[in-house]
Amino acid sequence: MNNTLPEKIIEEIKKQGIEPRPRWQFLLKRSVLWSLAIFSTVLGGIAIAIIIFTFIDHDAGVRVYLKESAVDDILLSIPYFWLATLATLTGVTKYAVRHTKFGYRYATARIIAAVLIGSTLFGIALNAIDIGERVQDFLVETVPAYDALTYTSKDSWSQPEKGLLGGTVTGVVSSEYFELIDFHRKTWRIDMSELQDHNDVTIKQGVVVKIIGTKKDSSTFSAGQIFPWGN
Amino acid sequence: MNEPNKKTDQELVLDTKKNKDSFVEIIRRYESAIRRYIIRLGCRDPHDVDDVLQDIFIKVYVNINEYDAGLKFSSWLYRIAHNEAISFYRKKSVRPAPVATEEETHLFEYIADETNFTESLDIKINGDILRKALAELEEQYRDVLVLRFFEEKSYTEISDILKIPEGTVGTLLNRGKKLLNDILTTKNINL
Repeated sequence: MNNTLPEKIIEEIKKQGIEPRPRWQFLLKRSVLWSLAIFSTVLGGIAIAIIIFTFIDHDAGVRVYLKESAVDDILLSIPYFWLATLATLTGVTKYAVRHTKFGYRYATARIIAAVLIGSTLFGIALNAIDIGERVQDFLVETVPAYDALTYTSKDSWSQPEKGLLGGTVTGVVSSEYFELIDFHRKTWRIDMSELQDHNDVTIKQGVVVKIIGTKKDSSTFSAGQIFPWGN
Repeated sequence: MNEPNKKTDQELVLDTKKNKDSFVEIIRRYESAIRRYIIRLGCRDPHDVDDVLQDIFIKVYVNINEYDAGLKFSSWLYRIAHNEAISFYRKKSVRPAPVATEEETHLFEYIADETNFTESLDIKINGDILRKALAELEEQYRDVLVLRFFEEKSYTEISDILKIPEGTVGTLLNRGKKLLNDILTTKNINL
C-alpha cells in the first residue's frame, strides 16, 4: 500500500472515528466569553457608580471643622477597594474580549479604553438612579469586612467625641430635645438648648441630620448646629 | 492525476461538513504549503513533518465547525499549523531552528530592501547563516518574519494567523528586521 498523505489522513480519521466537534460547542464558548465580558463591564459600571458616589458623598466640611490636612483627607476618601475592583474587572473583560473570535484584532489599549468608557457611562447612569449609594449602604450594613475597609461620610459623622454626630430623628421630645438613632443604631438624646443654627432643618421623625456639637454623656449630645444630611 | 478542484475553500469546507471524504481536497490543496511552512518553522525530520502535518489536518477536521467565513480559510489553517508546530516543539522540548534553503536566501535581500539596512553589509548570505540568525531571534519576531518574507503573507493574514493586532505585526516586523540585521552584522564581523 502506498497511500498519499491526504488519503492516509482520511483513513486515520475514519479508523479512529473522528468527527468534527459540534457547532454548539463553539457557540457556547463564544457566548460564555461575551457573557463574561458583558458581566464584567456591568460590574465595572457598578464599581464606577460607587466611586462616583464616594466622591460626591465625601464631606470636605468635616476636614475643615476637624482642622485635618487636605492630603490625609484625600488619601482617606479614595475608594481603593473599588478602584482595585474596577482594574480587576477591566482585566477580566479585556481577557474575555481578546479571546472572542476577532478580539485579537484590537490593541490592548483600545480594548481597555472601550471597556472603561462603557463602564463609566453605565456607572454614571447607575449613579443617577442612586445605585452607587444603595450598593454602598447595603455592603456597609451587611458585610462587616467591607464596612471596616470603607470610610464614608457616615463614618465622618459618627465621631461624637469630636463633636460630629449624624443619624435619623426618631422622635421629638420637646422644643429643646429630640431623639436620634445614629448610623451605628445607637440612640441619642439631642439637647438643642445651645443651638445656634438649625439651617432651616425641620426636626421631625424620619429626617436625617448631621449635627456639630458636644457630647455631654454616653447618650446625650448638645447640638450647636444642625444640617440636613447630604448638603 | 487528479484535476485541480475549482471549488473555493469555503465550498470545500461546506462539502467536508457533509461528507468527510471531501476533506481530501482541502488536504491536497494545502499539503505542500503547510509542509513548507512547518519545515520553515524548524521541523526537519521527515517523519516528524508527516506526523505534525497529520495532527494539523486532523485538528482542522475536528474544528471545521469553528471556521468562520469572516476569516481567510488559509489564515485559519496556518493558525492551527503554527500552534501545532509550536506545541510539537514544546513536547519535544526543543527550540525551533528555522530552515532556509539555498534557494530561499534571496529572501534575505527582500527583507534587506525593505529597510535598506544592508547596503553596507556586503556579505554573501547563505541559507545556513540565515537559518542560524533566525534561530537566534525570539519566537515572536521569528514568527512574523517567516510569515511575511517566506510565506509572503499580508499584515492582515499574519494578524489572523498569530492572533495579534495588525499594529503589533508591524512593530514586530520592524524590530525583528532590526534584530536580524544586528545578528547578521555580528556574524559578518566574525566571519
